Amino acid sequence: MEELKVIGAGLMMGLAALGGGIGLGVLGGRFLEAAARQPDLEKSLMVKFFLSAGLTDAIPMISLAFGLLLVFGVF
Amino acid sequence: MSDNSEKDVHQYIEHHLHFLQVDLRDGTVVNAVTKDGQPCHVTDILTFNGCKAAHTSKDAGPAPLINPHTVNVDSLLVSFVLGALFIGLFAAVARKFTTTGKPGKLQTMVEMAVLFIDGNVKSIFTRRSRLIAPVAITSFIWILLMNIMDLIPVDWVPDLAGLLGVPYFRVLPTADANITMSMAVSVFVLMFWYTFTRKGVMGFVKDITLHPFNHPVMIPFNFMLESISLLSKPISLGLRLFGNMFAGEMIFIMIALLNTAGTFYTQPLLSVPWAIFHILIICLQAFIFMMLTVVYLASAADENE
Repeated sequence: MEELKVIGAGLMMGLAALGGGIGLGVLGGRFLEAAARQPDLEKSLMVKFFLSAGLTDAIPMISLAFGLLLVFGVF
Repeated sequence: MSDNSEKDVHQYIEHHLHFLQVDLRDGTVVNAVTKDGQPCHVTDILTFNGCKAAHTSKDAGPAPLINPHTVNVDSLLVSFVLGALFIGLFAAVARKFTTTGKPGKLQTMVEMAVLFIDGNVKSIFTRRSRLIAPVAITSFIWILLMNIMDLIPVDWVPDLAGLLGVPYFRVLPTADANITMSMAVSVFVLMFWYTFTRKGVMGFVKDITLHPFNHPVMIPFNFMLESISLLSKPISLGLRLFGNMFAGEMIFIMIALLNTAGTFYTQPLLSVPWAIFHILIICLQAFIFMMLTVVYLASAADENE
């Protein structure tokens, strides 16, 4: 049971990192593209970029936290 | 890694992840004993009698996830102190506010914070409300202050507490799901308050039954879709902050574990870069919590939607 928990936690954290990495990469690339096309909008885009970066980052982070809880924590 | 050191590692992590929990039924501290092996009572801590952590064996089964009888005293204490610090500081500056002459550094800082929040709130919440800006600045500065507690080196506070006879102390309130979820629930209640006062009860009912597809046949489908999206808002809001701060704290703890091999320089070598990177996450998560609160409340208060 303990071994299965570790494997499950590893899957959770690894897949979350994969998805989060792809998402943040796409987001950052699009932000740079948009800023290069419309340099005037860069400042207002920056706020939206950080907001959506946080939103994109959230689910992987939740998955990471629960994976760590599974290994070290209470469950 | 030998069997003995593996046990040490597990105990170290368990000690750092354990809250100072007080059982409300009899006033004892959970998983702690006094010097002579008796269960530790709150009065033992208050009179500096000295308690130490007593780990239950894993065979006793995991602790229940939801426990209505215990209170996490450390999270509550730190969050109340920081909330009082925020209100005291801002109120003191507001009372001494001058528009003539040169403003002091503190006034400039508070002014910057207020203007930053004001600009962001005005761009999203376009209706009139006396409540929204105070809610936004409170959530931003309070969460920022609580998150900054993560930058205190992981061993300082638990070790200091241990010297004072307090068995456990976690200094980061936002890594406690109770704190973040209760803030999210408060936002959820405010969403209902805005909906009911701005749109009325009928407006709310129309919102959740006729929203994506405006046709009587689609009411059950609409209701399912809208209630899921409504309920997912506070859950994701609270868990996002919790997940980020818990994962960050956990990485600090794991870096600290590398020190057990007797190489004192590994911890600063790794935890300083992580702390510098973590400053970004600390500010970003406070900002996101504030922005999402405003976005959710704005959509709840918008009569046209």
